[in-house]
Amino acid sequence: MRRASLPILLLTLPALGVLPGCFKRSTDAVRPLNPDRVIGEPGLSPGQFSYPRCLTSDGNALWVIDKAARVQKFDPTTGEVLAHFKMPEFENGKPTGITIAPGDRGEQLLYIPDTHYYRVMIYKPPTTLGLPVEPISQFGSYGTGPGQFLFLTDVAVVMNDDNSKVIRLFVSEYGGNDRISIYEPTAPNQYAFVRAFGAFGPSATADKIEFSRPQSMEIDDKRKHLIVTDACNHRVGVFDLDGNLIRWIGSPEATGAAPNQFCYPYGLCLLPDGTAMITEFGNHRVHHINPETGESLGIFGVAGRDKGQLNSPWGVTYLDNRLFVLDSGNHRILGEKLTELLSSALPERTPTRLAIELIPVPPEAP
Amino acid sequence: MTDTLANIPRTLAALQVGPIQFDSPIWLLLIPILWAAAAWMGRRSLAGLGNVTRWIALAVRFIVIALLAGAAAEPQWRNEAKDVSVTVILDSSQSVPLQSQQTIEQYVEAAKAGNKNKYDRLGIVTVGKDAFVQSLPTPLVAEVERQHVGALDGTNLAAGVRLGMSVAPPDAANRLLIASDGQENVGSVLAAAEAAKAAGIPIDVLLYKYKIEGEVMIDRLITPATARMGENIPLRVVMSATKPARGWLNITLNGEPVDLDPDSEKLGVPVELRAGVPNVFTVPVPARNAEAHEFKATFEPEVVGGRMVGDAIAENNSQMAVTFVSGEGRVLIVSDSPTESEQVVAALTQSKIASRRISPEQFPGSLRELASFDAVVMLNQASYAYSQGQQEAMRQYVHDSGGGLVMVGGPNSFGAGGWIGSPVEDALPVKLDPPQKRQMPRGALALVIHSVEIPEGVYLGKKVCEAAVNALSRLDYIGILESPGLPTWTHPLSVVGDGSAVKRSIQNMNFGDMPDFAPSLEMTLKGLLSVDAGQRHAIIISDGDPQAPSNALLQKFVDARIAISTIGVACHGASDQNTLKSIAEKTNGKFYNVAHDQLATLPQIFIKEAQTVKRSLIWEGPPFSPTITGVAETMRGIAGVPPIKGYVVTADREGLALVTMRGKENDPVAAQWQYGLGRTIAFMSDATTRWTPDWIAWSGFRAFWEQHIRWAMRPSGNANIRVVTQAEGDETIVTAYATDAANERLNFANFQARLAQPDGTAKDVEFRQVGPGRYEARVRSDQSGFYVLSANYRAPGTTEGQTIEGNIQAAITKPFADEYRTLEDNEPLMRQVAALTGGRVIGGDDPVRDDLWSRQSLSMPVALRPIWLALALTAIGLFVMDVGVRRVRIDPALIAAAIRKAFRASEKVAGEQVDALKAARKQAQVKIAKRATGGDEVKSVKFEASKEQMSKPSTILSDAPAPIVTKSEKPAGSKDAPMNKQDAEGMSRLLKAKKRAQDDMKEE
Repeated sequence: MRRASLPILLLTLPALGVLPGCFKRSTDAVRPLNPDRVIGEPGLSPGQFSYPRCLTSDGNALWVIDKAARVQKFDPTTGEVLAHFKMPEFENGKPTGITIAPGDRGEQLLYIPDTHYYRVMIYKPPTTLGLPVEPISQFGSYGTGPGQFLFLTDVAVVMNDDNSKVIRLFVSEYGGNDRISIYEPTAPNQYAFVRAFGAFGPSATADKIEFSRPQSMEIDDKRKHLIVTDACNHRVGVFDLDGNLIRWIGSPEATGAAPNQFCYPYGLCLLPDGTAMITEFGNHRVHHINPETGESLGIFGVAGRDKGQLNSPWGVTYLDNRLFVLDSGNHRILGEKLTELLSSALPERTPTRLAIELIPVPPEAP
Repeated sequence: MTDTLANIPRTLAALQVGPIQFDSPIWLLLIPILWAAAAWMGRRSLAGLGNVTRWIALAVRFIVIALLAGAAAEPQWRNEAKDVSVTVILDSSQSVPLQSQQTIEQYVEAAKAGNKNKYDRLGIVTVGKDAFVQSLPTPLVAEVERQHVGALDGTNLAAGVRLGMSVAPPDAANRLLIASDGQENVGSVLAAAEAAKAAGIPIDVLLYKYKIEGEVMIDRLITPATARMGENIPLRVVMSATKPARGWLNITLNGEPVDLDPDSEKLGVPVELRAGVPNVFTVPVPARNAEAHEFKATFEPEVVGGRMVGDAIAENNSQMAVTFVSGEGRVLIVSDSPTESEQVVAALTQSKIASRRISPEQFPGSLRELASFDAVVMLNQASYAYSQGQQEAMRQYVHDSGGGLVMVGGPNSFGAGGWIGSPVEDALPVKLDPPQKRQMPRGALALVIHSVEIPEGVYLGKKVCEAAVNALSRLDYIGILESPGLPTWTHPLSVVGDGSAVKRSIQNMNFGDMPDFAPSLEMTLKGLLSVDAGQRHAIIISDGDPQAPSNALLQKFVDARIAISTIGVACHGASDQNTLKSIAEKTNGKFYNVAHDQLATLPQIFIKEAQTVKRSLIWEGPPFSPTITGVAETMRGIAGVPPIKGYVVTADREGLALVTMRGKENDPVAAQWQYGLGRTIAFMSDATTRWTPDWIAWSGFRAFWEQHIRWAMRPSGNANIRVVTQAEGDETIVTAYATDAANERLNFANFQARLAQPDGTAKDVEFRQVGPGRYEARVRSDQSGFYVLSANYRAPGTTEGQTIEGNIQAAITKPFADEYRTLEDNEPLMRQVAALTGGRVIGGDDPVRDDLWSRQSLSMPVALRPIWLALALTAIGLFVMDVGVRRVRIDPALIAAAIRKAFRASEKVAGEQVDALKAARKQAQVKIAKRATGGDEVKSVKFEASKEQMSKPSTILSDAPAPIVTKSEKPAGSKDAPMNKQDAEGMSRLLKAKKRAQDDMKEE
């Protein structure tokens, strides 16, 4: 096919040259993704997805959980399934979050907020295909009291300075009890509830922290910040590691599809330069922002089902200079080189300041 | 050479050369012809060129000719597939033991794992009574997973093959693999295999081998189709056994066990069965009531050590049969409470019509049960109390079994009761939609749909939306809102009309995930308030996990008097239910929690909720007496009726429906018609003090109801007709023996008969007289379940003008599917399918050796792409090149020198280039200065070579004719300049050519 098209191409190039104006450049405001990696398709076999809803990376591979309650590990280059297992219980519902972080002994562990079973499950990442895996630890129960959960969405892990020990876990939840709970270790991989911050609501003041479905969390190790996508309030929150609010980026009132607005920010990942990529479930796009300044650095992806288009993206992660976007509605992962993504200089990528609710930064603890 | 030619693949009238296929190869014959012509013409026209140039020019012409002829020959670029796709058609029917199915699944998974080409594809289709795609063929499918597989009491291999063919990828070679016992009982797999053969898809077969050695089954339970009260009904049980066996025979009548041996502790009787012959047992059972008697005979095998002896399949150990016992006609009255029906019951009792009152929950679930009543009277009944099956049975009861239906109004009946669009509406003599011209408040219903996370969620979601739409009238508003990211109206709030627009929208629903209820409800509220409606209502269907809306938003609904009813389907837990429950409670709506096993009730819930906006169909006002408009048997002796205070608005139905009373704005209040074999009556007011308080004391009350109900009742008949049914394979012979009141054989009777089938359909049945007083009909009875045959008969009496007429009924039963009759696999059929399509019979022992993705006997599909344009354009390009070759002399030495010079120039350092440029500029400045000062002679022409240039020897670029120059421009001394050898040769050739041309002209 390629050989056949070559002469056509060679012979038609001059003709194209004399027909300027027949082709005009796209004037779309948003650059679609141009993925060089597409992983997954609809189905129930390994390597296939049934509406995947959470994505993360362990530095070498991608981890995904879908609505068939399957946890799958993928080679980001070949798309090959390296390991997979099914959650032990899934009749009530499936997890909507997954985190990989070092455990107490420095080994990598899977932290899965088991959304509809009101608990956090901690697994040693398996290397097996399809075999059941036992959690090494779990905590949480149904309820709205301390240490209890409604619908869990994500887990964020804070390590000590030399990355050898977990010093804190943040667990987010929604369902009327929208808050973030803080847990601290009491024994290897055992955690105890310390306190929680936040309640259901749209408040933007520092003394009244409220969330409406805090969906994803990331730790900015350099700045010691906790970054949260407050999905149904259409904003991103920046907190210190004690849960004190530093700033909101965006607001419930300012939701929309403009470059300085969010619509259901679901997925979140931090890039090495400290900027953040956010998937917007409602806008079917990826939003590049600077969480320190609130600047919108770029918008990528358009709604649809074709190549490079997104349909209700839930998650996003960064691995090996590539951005991987979980295109949930299309049952696939799209990967594109970050350098190419960021170098696509469109006028629309001119930094635009988002609506930032400025909150005084609390004084640092002595 | 012969071998080479033989190796060139050919298709019909096409020639394939390498990756190129010529569809009209005859054009290629032009190549040698035109080549010869070009060579002959070139001999003269190219004679003036050098040897090399001439040959190059000739070669270019040959290529141009070949390309043009090739383009005319319709060339196509062939892209041949390399992968193989295997779609496995798994027989999941109940005749295949589950263990065997699991073994096959493991075999297929092992085969896929062991297949070397990782791009080969695997697809899975399951087959029962229907076929379903489980996995589309892709390289990633590695496991056999089953979701919805449908009914398993049949084997439809043909549907499996057709579905497998329909999902076959076009860019791979395809195989089908049928894994089955070959015992098909629906469709014809051989016919489907013919289609596969035509499509070039071989079907491999993998046989589930089995043979059941010891098996007992009840072949038939024979009972008379009709009997009379008090007589003994003889039951004949025909059983067969493959080996001698012992056990007990039990009988139940309408679900209750019959004690066949009062002297023993067991209810049944012991039986001993001989192998290979029919074992017939006769049991008499007395007829109890004038109703349908449903008998069930069950064989209970002897059990030793916890295992059945001599029997393997339990499903074929029972048979059923029905006998209709005739007696006085009976009427079934349905009302929510005895109070609602007491006046009508009293009127029937006074009229000596036997009746039985039940509540809607006790309503018969099948046509067979309904058929034992002569009429059904429904008082103020809402449709949501009846399942879809019951509603269809009601329609069939009238249309196909000749029963009567009397629907009496009330606030929950007719259109206000959600019957619009139901099967029962078809049977009614009025339309339940209000007339177009009628001005009345409209209802507005908004459906907020969230994804339902169950395998059949999409199907059910669409069904419930359709159910809700069907329950609305054409004047109401309907809107459907989804949230694929952001809330959007899948169907904006608009008038239902004929429902086609909204039903199209329903088919396009996405069932997207909804993060948050609030935006959807805000949009719903805005939409509902934007339409002019008297009743507004919203329904949410969800699994309950979106974020809850704020109390402030819900209060807006309360303020607007809009209730939100919430339906939780497959809720994830208490928290999800609480969210939905809270929304309903705060807005005065209702909350329904529908578990997985209650999904069938969903449409009923939607209909019930949709009914909320249907109150507008009720007219209530000052009492008035309806106008009697029709002369009918039902209104005999009734000149006028007392006032009524209310009724449900309906519209006239075209056709033979007769409206006997009318109300405000000419609305029908009472109507009747013949529907199929039966009759229906609609009375849109009620039979209580609610709307007809003056009727109870009215002297004509009893007569009014007696006449109406008697008219609707199935005629009892005045002939003795005994019906016998006899099964013959997939057919049943129904024989009617008819005698008149004097016991004389009844001849020349006409039968109008319908057979209601288990799948809800019905068909006409033709009776023929085959002897004196004997009539026979053949009906196909290949579905398992109950068939009810109903026939109205009419025959001339013994005296002139006398007519004998009535109705008879009979039931045919086929309680278990043919699936359970098979005791052995059907290997010959499977082999036939493989042989027909060029497939293989797979052993199934070694998945690697079997090589399911074998390329053997497969023709790889080829994608063809026309390339004539490319060839033509290339030819045009070469033609231009041909001109160039002849006009431009290429001197390799000069080209080489130019390249060397270019290389040297590129080696210059930047500084040297700058210096050279400076020097050139300086030289130019000096020249200009000289010109300005007159130091140099002024040129008379635009360009004149310098002295240095003039002194250089001229470079000959080619042997082409020298460029034409004017005499004035000719450099001085050029005429006398000595020619070198090449110039001399060129001039000589030119002169020769000139002479040849002059000679040719002279000859011409």
